[in-house]
Amino acid sequence: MLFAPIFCSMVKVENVSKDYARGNVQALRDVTFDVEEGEFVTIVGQSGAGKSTLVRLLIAEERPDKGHIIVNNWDVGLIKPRHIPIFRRQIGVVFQDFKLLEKKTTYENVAFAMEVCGRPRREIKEQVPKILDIVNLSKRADQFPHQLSGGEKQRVAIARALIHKPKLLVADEPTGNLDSLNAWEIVQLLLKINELGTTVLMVSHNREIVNAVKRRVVTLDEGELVRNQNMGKYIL
Amino acid sequence: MRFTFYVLSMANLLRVSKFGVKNFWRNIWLSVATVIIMVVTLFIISTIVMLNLLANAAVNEVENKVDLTVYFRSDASEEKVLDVRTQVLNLNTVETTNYISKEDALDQFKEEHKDDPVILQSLEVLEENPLEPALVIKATETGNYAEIAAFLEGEKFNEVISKVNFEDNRQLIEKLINIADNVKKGGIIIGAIFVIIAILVVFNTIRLAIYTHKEEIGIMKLVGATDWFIRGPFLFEGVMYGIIGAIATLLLLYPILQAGAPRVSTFFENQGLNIAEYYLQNIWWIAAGLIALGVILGIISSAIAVGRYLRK
Repeated sequence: MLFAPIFCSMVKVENVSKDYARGNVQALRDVTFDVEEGEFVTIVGQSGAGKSTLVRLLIAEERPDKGHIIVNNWDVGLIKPRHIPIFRRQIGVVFQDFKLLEKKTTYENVAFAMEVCGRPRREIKEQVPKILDIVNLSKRADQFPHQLSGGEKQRVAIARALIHKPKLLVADEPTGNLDSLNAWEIVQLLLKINELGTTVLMVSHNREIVNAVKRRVVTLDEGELVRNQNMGKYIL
Repeated sequence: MRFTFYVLSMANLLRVSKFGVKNFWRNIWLSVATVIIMVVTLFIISTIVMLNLLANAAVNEVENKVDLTVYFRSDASEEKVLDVRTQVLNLNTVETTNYISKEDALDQFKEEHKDDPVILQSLEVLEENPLEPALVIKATETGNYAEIAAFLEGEKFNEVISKVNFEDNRQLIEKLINIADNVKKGGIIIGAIFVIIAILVVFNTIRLAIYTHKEEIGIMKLVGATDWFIRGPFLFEGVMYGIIGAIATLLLLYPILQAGAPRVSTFFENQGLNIAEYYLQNIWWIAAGLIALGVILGIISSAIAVGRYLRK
């Protein structure tokens, strides 16, 4: 994960449009922006602005109707179904609702991501404790999600997202279900991960957090990109 | 490198199997119900196969009992009778002949009616032996009897032969072959119905398992699990239903065959057929067949269930 940022795009969104309901709902309209390697970019917008649609396109859950999305040199619109698992291992994703398995411990939740990708047990035993250390959850390794706070659950989700050492981490409203203190802790963790070299793309509608982060802000409004500012602020 | 790949593949296979077994135990009552349906299907198919075997054996048994009997005139000389026998033996459709002289016929008759004093007294009264010499002919195949009968009913034998007796047996054989055919056709239809039922039940069980694991599957897709890693546990679960169903069927069949064996043996008195012994002697083939069929049914159902889900 440690590397110096160089001037090449991790994410290229070129004239992307996405419709639903046979074209009756335009979720994204001709959106274009880049995210350089090693950047921390926040995507903001009101509900229905197209943020979640953008995330789904970035992780190849859906394909754009028009335009191209290039993520880590993969054109999302052209990925073959059998290559999607390989693509997904290069991106870490974190969601608002954590998406943890309630019947598995912290350790098992993170290890699960390696197990289902066929990693050997020895490698899992080596890597999982290291990642738990990075997210400061080593002492919670044997606890179940219901025993963790919201912030701790999100850290487990982040640890799982990082286990494949992805170049890009996409966080979709990671602080949406958290109180301010936990929310800020999570953002601090994301910033720390970014400092270590991982490109971070965070979707948020938390004004205070966005303004405090002081990084590039891409603003969406009704599916259109209306603002793209370095050291941006939450303006809607 | 190859060894590492092999070890990793074995590790993955074990993981997939472990997940599959977990799915099976998690919904144990549903799994039991599914296994029962599988057992019923395999049992029905085994019964149909056995009935077909028995029907064919019955046809063979009756065919073995069938023969053509030629009754000669009482006044026909033994020389002429033996000449007929020689001509019959020369036919390539005849397997064996058995000549029963008038005296032998009378002895046989007395033996058969030894407990009937009225008949024996009647014989004492008669001055001459009323019975006719006979030639019992066995053909190489059942279909040849008509040809042999036609040969014997020819004009050249009219002076010597009084009666050729085989018509009744042919009708019986044809009836039996008809029944065996109907058993086979009926068996195929019933077997097919139960196979479809089994596939649908396993399909539904796997679909329910997939639904129960919806969240887990979603996360697996998110973190980059391949389709085969997602499919694998459910396919393995399908295989488990097939194997457990087959083993349960094997265990169920033996006591039932033991119970039915005496009745079947009575019918097949000459062949000494014991279906329970036959089952034990061929247990490995029967087990292999049942397990193969169970596994195929399980894999087909779960593959369809998983395939439809993953296409979404």
